[in-house]
Amino acid sequence: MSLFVIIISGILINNYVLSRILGICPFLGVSKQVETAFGMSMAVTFVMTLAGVMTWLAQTYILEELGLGYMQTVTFILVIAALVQFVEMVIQKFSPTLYQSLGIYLPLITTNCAVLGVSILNIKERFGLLETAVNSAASAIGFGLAIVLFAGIRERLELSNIPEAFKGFPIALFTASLMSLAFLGFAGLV
Amino acid sequence: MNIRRVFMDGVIFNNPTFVQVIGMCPTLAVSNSAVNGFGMGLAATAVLIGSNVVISMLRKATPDEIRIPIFIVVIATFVTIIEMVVQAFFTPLYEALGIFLPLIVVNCIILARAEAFAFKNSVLSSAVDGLANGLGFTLALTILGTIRELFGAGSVFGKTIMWGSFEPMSIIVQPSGGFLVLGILLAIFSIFTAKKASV
Amino acid sequence: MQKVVKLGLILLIVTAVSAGALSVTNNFTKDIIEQKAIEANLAYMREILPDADDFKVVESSAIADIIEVEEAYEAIKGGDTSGYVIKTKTSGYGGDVLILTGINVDGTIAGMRVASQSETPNLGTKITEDEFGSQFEGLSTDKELKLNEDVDQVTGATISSTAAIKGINASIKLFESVLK
Repeated sequence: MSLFVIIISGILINNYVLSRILGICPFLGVSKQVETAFGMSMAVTFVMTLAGVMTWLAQTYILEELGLGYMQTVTFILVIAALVQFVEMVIQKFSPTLYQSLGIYLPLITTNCAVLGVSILNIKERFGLLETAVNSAASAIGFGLAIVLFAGIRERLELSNIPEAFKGFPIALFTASLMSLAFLGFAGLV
Repeated sequence: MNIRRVFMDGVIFNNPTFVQVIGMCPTLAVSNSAVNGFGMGLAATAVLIGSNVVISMLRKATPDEIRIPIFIVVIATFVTIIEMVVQAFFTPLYEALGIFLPLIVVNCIILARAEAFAFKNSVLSSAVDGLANGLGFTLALTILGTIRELFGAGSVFGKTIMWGSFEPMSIIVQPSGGFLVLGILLAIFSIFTAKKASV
Repeated sequence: MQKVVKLGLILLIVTAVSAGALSVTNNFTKDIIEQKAIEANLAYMREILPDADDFKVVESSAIADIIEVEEAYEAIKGGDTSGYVIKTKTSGYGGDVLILTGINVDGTIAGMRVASQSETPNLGTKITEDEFGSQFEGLSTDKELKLNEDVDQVTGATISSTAAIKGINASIKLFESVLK
């Protein structure tokens, strides 16, 4: 698959949130304001790209070499958890300003299923190392695009007059539904 | 702790999907048919019971600092076991659930129960808590799956029940429809709870 | 320092126990899973090439060169090769689409069956129905097939239809370049 196709597919067609339905928890949880949504998507992009590459290396050079394919889930989640911890420590030490803006999102990323999802899909698609890196980054950007757009809409919704029963999650889910419908328009682009 | 109370909390009063609104990815992604929703619910229930029991057993031996990695390993182990069993004995379900089967690992419900309940309570009540939360999740997924399959494909559990001229609304079984139906259900739920509160 | 070692050891023990449990389960389920996969293929293969007496796995390193191809089987009839069944994996809308394509030795498509998919019910799943699948029967393998030229796509399910035809084209490629 060409890298261009992977990028377009990761960001628009197979958008992680709106068409694959992965990473919904942060999508609904951290999308009240554009600013925090942007911070979250930066943190996710960073971790997801690194996690994609690290898990690919672990799969190719450790699990497959040793014939331990069935340890995939255990290994991947440990690699991701360790990576998140590590990134958190490094950022805290070297860039306190960056830590202040991204730090609070980092622990949440371990249980962001989009990160583990992209790692598993990279292997399933039999991507090479470069393709894995590109696909992980593109998927993360797709996640960021969805969550930032969504936060923009939710900010406006705050000012609207919404029936009592629809306040909070219901109206957010309706918004997500319409966005998902709109993203369906990208299907068949490549 | 009162076992019945633990059970009712997990299934209804503190229902993971309708009250806590967590574990949304599988809820939305595999609820496109009643069977898939039900199957995913049961797989998650099995993992929940297993991980709750083991984590509760290990709670005295688990140092606080590394409890999260240990939880994760225990959960991931059960997920992989369930994945293999489903693949061996329920192959069609394995194919329908796809990537969402290994992703049970990051289902927030399971880690949340480990941290909030199993790590602090006895083995028996942890098992009940796992069963109850699992059933609550299964219930929510099955309801969602039944509604989506009914309107999106005109059938329930694979049996056609809508009248012959019924035109299925395929959008309901798409991701977009998942968000929509869950939104409506949560709105209905909040009308009821709001009424109760005002009375 | 001693504490770090102790914590590391505990984590190591937990992981080792986990690996042990998984390896036991894996040994137990592995054969059943493989058996099921072969059985599932066999039923489809008999449907696609009903005349064949027997099917044999084609062992060739060239199979791995075409990325979509998973496995290839040779159909035997009266001691001669009567055709091939090739299993491919492509990505559809909801996940992987596994397709078995049967090709006669004379270079025509004998038929196709979707072995597994997780496409949208009632939309993408229509690639498994005869209306879509039977269009491929009898087509020649001398060129790559094109959607909406050689065969009509399932209305509203472009991605699923594309996944199907991609798999079939990969089978054609394998047949033309290696098996023929």
